[in-house]
Amino acid sequence: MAVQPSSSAVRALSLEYRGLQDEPVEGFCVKLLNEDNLFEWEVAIFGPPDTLYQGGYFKAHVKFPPDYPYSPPSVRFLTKVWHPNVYENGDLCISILHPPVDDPQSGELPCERWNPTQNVRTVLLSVISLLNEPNTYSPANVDASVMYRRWRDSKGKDKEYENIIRKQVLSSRGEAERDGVVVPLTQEDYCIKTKVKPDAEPVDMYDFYDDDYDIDDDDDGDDDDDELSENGEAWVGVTEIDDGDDSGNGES
Amino acid sequence: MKVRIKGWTGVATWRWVANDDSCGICRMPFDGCCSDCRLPGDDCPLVWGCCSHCFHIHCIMKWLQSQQLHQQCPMCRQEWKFKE
Repeated sequence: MAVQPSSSAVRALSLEYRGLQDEPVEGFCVKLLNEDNLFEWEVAIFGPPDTLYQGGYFKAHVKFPPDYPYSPPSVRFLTKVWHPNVYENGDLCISILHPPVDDPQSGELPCERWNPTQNVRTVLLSVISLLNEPNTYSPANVDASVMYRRWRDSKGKDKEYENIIRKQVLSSRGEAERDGVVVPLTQEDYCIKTKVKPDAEPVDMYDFYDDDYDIDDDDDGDDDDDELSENGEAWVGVTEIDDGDDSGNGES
Repeated sequence: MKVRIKGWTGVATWRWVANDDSCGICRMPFDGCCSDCRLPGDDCPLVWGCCSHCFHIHCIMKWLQSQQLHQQCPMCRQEWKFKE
């Protein structure tokens, strides 16, 4: 790596990663590509129900720059995705991942661009909504864009686009099966009910003084800084497969 | 029983009064400091914009300095102006 990652990037990423483990967000799951490296994540996006993408399982690599969150991550699909805003090589083109430089050519407003309060969650939610609502003003895949518009303008009569997507969704389910993941198919399953944590503890004033007063009840073991590697392996927000019940025909 | 106080030590606590718990840029608690600092408080103060959003001063400065054209609040994208 050319630039040494800043400690603030490491902190921000480990906070985000842990946050996503504690409170998974609907529609995707994340894991580290390699336990020792917080800067490369593998994410799996679930196709939203009631869209062409329903049941789809789209894997992508998310790479974070050394100065994250001041600069945006990049997203590259590993799963084949025929989409107006995805390049042939899988690179995703979405305004939220572009730095807010003034570029009138792009047709993107600076206000739609990256800023440091964006995070993995907001990015992936944008990606999920982009799936079903492509941006045809600045297509990364012109053929897909033309085909999509034909499908949309014919109100679904021209099925070429739809057929390709359905085929890709079908073949992505084989991948989900290999990963032991059940892709949620209904709105209900898709939306994880966020459970309220029983011990949403306020800032404990005790912590401030622990150092000063040497109160020796320090064995409650709440040094939660090192838990990352323990869980680094696990997918977050995944329903475990129990058997291959809707495995179906994972061909393409 | 008579008690004679020979001495006493005052203890005070402080907190930032912000409308959030943590900085939207570095994601660290406001009562702590930004990721580049060691001590919270005067060394790593909070600043407010006219839009009422607040950040660690180091975090917002770093962001504003990287923006040549539009100095916007990263939260609400209004033009960033320091609140007096």
